[in-house]
Amino acid sequence: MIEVRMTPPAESLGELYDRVSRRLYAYALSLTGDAARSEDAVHDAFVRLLQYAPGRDVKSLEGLLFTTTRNIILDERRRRVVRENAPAPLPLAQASGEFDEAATRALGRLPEEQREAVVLKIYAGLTFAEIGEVTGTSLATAAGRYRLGIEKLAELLPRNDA
Amino acid sequence: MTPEDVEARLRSLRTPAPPERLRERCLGPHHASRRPLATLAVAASFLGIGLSVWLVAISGPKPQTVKTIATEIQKHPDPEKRAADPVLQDKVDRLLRENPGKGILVVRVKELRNGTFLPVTSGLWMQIVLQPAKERPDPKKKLDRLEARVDLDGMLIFVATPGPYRVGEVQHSPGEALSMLSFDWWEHKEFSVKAGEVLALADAVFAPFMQWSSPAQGSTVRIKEDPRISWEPYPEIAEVAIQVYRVEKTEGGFTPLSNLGLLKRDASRESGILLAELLKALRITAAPGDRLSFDLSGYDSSGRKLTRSRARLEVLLKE
Repeated sequence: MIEVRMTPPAESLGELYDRVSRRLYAYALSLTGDAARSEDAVHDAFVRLLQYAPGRDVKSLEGLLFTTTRNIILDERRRRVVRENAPAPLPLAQASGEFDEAATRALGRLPEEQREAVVLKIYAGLTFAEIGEVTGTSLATAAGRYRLGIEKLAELLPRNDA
Repeated sequence: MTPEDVEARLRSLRTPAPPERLRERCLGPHHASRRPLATLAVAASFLGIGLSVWLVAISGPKPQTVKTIATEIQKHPDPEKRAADPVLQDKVDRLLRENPGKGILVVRVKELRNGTFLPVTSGLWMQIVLQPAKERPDPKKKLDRLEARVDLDGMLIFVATPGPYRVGEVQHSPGEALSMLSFDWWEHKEFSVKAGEVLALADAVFAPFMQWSSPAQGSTVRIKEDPRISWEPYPEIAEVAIQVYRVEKTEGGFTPLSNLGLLKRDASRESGILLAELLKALRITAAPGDRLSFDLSGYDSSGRKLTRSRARLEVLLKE
């Protein structure tokens, strides 16, 4: 995490993007299930970052990006007239590049708040305190959701897939 | 499976990488809120092909003079490579289906910022007039005026009638931010638009103006002191062209300029030239009391004009 007290110069913005984009995109994908909407959300989060950060005392740019991305996606959901089905699961692949269908499907079957906590912890690398800030809950709630999610995954994932 | 096993397994898995274009979009100079749905379909392809195509079909942007297509067209100008991407091919096919018998011209628009060329994704409208390549310009003949607004992929897309052309006229309207930058687009080569094909024209670049550093604007300089005409270093500029004018006497409220010559010079090492050297190279005889004016154009290493001085530098010569 980095502390920011002023407009991030272009170089550090690029570094920030390189460091956070994959994790942020994965988080957005886990919420939307749609690549294009995720791309838009990450893009808009960066736009808002540039609009918001100048002159402000921002504790964590990464945290702000995750929170903003989440807000953008939830706002967009509320605006949609047609109720959506559950989003497509976040596609997970093994190191070899092979699609891990069992893990992807199991993660997709978690309740959204648990899935969100798992994705933010495992794939975004946030602490429970940061997850609490992003999702607007307490540290304990964030940790509880994560623990429940992992326990549920332990039931859903067959042992022979491990 | 234990919770620890689950955590270890999840940590060993990888999530999808964001598309490459997202970096440019996020760090680009001009941000717009939404991608056109036509472009959205490409990005959505690796999750839900059918849904995306359906979305584009029923709720894509309203037909305009020019429709947008995806960045990948630029990445894959070769039709065979485009064909390898079924979604992209579908977009190209659809665009051409909406404009039967036409071809597509693409101009990529970029802004030079901090030494990097970033795509311009909003704020530019451009109109080009295509002149038939083998014909003399005939003012009585009505020519097609092609218009486009830059899209979220940083491209101007023109739908054109097949034929051999050269660019006959260009008009553009930049947004407020872009209007502060130098812009000088022209396609110098003749080209041929073919039905059903995509052709990339020269890139269009917005770049910061060159800045004069000495002598001061409107100052009086001594010929004997041989002042140095200099400009701020511009790393992307490999060559400059210095245009020299003599400012003539004002008559009837009009101040004519006499063109004294143009000197092209390597700018990779130096960002200035002594006045005596400049005058000698152009065989200009200057005298005290003469008022000279200088214009500067900057070219990149490929010889493309990249920028120019925003204002002419004017000095009064003194013995």
